[in-house]
Amino acid sequence: MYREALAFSLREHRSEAEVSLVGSDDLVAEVERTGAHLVVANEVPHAAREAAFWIEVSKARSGESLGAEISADGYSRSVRDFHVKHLLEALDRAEEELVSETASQDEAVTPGPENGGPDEGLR
Amino acid sequence: MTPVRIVLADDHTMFREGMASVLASRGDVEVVGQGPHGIAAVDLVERHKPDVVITQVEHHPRRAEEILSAMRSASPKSRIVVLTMFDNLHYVRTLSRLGINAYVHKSSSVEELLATVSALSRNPEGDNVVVSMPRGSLEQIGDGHESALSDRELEVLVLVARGFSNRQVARDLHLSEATVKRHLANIYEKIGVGSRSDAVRTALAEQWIGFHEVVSADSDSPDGSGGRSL
Repeated sequence: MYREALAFSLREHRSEAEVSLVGSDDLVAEVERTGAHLVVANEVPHAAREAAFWIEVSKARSGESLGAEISADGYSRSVRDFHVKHLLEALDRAEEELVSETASQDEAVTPGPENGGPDEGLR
Repeated sequence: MTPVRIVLADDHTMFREGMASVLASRGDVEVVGQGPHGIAAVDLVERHKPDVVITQVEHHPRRAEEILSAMRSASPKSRIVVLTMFDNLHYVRTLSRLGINAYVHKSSSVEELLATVSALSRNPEGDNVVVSMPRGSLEQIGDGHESALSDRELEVLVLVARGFSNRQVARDLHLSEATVKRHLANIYEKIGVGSRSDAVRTALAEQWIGFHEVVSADSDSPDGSGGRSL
């Protein structure tokens, strides 16, 4: 029920985000398959940490708030009481990174003749 | 159709916010209040008099009873759905006696929770308890494992009920005193009590141990002078 609630929040607040729900056994394969930008799990495997921004949510225990470790491209923090806003902040950072990467790739493309430049393709 | 008015009480903020969104997305449901569980939730129930309360509860039976009784007093017609991570049958039974209307384990799906809310709201006078919990826990019924306690823990508890000290229990069961203390600590934790007398009272009330076990060995004196068998 936790992951369903989390996925619903993501889809509701960031409708452009594509959300996959997978079990822990399939997590790394799914990250590789989809090229996920953000992984949220109770335990984020090393391979997934290398590939994406991640949030490691503590296992839910009664009588304790739900904490989380968030790592988003050098922006890392621990929160003792994990809110949807923390989730969205991490997702937004992932999106910023994606936009930034895309812009860098665009800049790396030398304009062709139709754009007023020599037809040299990629530098 | 009038929407089902819900108060949602859970300490896990992300989960609560997500569930509130899920519920609010349904046209037939209105989340009129949400917040942590406990006294704050009682205030919400008092203020909104919802059709359904979805709430986490304390594992400690006495504290759970305090909160649930307060909710009942605040809004007698509200139907109470307990949303919990505990799948202990003893706990289910205890909560049932406290008058809850549904027990939904958090491993259940959102759809199962929604179906529970729907069932309760359609039948506001119904007296059955809706239970959604892991199959494995339900399958323990009838296997003689209703008690959360191990056989050894029950042995310790019977002797405690007879008035034995830890040292006397240790001698009787051929254990170290430290082991007896550990068993007692586990017993307290499992059944949510804080003292020997509460543990004995709960075990007798739940019929995990019988009065005959306690009184039939009256020759079995705490000073170890008499023989006994459990």
